[in-house]
Parts: sequence; C-alpha cells; structure tokens
Amino acid sequence: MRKLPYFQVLTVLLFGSSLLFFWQCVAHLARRDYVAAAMLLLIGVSTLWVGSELARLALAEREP
Amino acid sequence: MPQVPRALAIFPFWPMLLGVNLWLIALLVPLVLGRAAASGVLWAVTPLAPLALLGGLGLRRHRAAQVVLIVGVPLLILLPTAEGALAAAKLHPPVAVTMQLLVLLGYLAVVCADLARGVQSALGEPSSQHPDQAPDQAQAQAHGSESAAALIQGQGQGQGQGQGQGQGTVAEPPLAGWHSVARVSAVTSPRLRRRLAVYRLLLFMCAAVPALFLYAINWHPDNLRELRAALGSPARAAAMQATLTAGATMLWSVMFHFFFMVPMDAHLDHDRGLRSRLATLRAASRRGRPRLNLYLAILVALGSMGLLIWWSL
Repeated sequence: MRKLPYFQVLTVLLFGSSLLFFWQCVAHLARRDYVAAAMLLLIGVSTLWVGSELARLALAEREP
Repeated sequence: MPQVPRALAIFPFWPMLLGVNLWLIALLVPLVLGRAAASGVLWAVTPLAPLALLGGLGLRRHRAAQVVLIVGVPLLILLPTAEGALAAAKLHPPVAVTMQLLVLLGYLAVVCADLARGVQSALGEPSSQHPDQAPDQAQAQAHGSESAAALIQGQGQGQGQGQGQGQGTVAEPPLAGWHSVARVSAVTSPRLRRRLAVYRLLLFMCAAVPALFLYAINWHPDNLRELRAALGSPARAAAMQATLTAGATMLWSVMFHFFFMVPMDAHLDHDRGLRSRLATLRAASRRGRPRLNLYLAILVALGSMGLLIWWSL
C-alpha cells in the first residue's frame, strides 16, 4: 500500500490557504482597514513560510 | 572566418556609435544651445559620459564595468539635463526627446546584446569543441541525445561530400571552407524542450512585468484620473508619475537582479549551492525533526491570528 504523502498534501493546503489570507488582506486594504490588512499579510507570509518548511521536508522525504 | 580588427573587438561598433550619439543629442546639443545659462559644473561633467563609455566597453568583462555601461552612462548623460538650466522645455522639443528615447533604447539593446554575447562565448568555450557548434546542440549532446554533427563542405564547394563525425569524438578544429551543421534537429530531448519553454516564459515575464508597471503608472486611465484628483494640478501629477516610474524601475531592477539573475546564474553553475543546501537538509531530515523555523513561523501565524481576532472584536 502506497504511503500517503502527508507533507505534500499539507504543503499544498498551506500554500492555498496563504492565498486566501492574501486575498482577505487586499479586501481589508480596499476597506481602508490597514491594521487588519497588515496582520493578514503577516499571517499569509507565515503560512507560506510553514508551507515552505513542510515542502522541504517533503522533498527530503522523497530521497531514497 | 574573417579576423575582427583589435580596436573593434575592444570597442564594439554599435554600442560605441549609439553611446556617442546619445551623448551628443541628449547632453552636448542642449548644453551648447543653453550655454548662456549653463554653469561650469555642467561643462565639467560633460566628458564623464564618453569616458565612462570608453572605460566600460574596454573593461566590459568585469561586473562593475557592465553596470557602468547599462546604468552609469545613461545616467551621466541624462542627469545633467534633468534639472536646472538645461531642463528648460525649449531645449527639449518633443521630436528631440523621441529621438533621444529611441537612441537610448537602441544603446541599451546593443550593449545588452554585446554583453550577453560575451557571456555566451565565455560559456561556450569549454563545452563545445568548435565555435560553429550551437550551444543548444552542445547541450543536447551532453544530455545524451542522438544528434550528431556532420562536417559538410560548404560555401560553394558543392554538396553531398559530408564527412561523418561520431558523437563524443573529440573533433579537430574545422578546416577553412567547412562548416558544421546538425544532421537532425538539435532540440530532441523533451526535458531540454521543457527547459527552453521555461526560459522563454521567463523572458516573456521580464518584458511583461515592467511593461505592466509602466502602463499602470503612466497610461491606465483610472489611475491617471485618481492621481490628478489627489494631487490637484497636472504638473504635480506628472511629477508624481515620474517619481513612481523611477521607483518602479528601481524596484524591478532590484527584483530582476535578486530573483532572476542570481537564480539563473546559480542554475548555470548547476545549482551547486542549492544542492549542498539540499544535502544538508536531507542530512538534517534523517533525524525526523523539522527546523526551528517551522515552529517560529507557526508561532508568528498563530500570534497574528490572535491579534486579528482581538482587533476585530
């Protein structure tokens, strides 16, 4: 039975959710709520950061 | 192959011609026309541009000289007329400005082409056995494709007297009157074709992103309307547009260098740095524990979410 690629799935999920955060950030910017937009930007970048760390682990896991 | 004169090899014709032309029409002509109002400093900085051009072309193997050619020479030519006595509108009629812009674009294009050719030839020397062989063909051979070069008698010496050359054989330099052509299409490997497609996509991106910046700042009707409404007068809006264009150009130059040229440079070096980092990462991952960065990023994300909830309440 093939092992489920947890890290890859999590990476894709995190990258996708970071896009959602960025989209919300733009929406808050349009409403001139700059503090919330800055926090959302920080959340989006952090989510991307977590995703990239997991992608590294996924890449390392693929190594035979 | 005809021998290139030494002076022409040191100072290539088109960059030299267009650089001197740009200096003449963008700096010297306005300076002579407005000589009554021009200060001594302007006369003193005038020879700097051709000197920088000569020095840059002569030393164009060095990175600093390349920066001087692409950035320094245009700045030395255009900055003295940007402000002060030489910035008067009567010294810069629209036809002259259009001409200056065209010559500037031509200068940048030929300088970049000349610099790229220099890099290409420097890269091609160790890999290809003779200069007529195309770089992609050499790459295709390196990837184990079936393409093989054949020496065909050319330039009026008839056809069909080909002499085969086996793949991987170290060839002698071709004799005069012979040229090398590929028997089959040079790009055969799907991997190489994909790679070339990515390179073309990157090339398109390099043109599209700055063009988008320029359009958004200078031509997009909604943005122009908003700028005029926010700043009051067309003159102030134009000044803001010029500042934004300069800022976008600088931003794109920095992004181009750090996010395009540096990775491509590393790629040409077979990504040695990336490979060593990956090897370190793999060695670390065998312990089965993620790096500290992961916990830090999770902490920042959760903290920001908590702050956002607190802010929304």
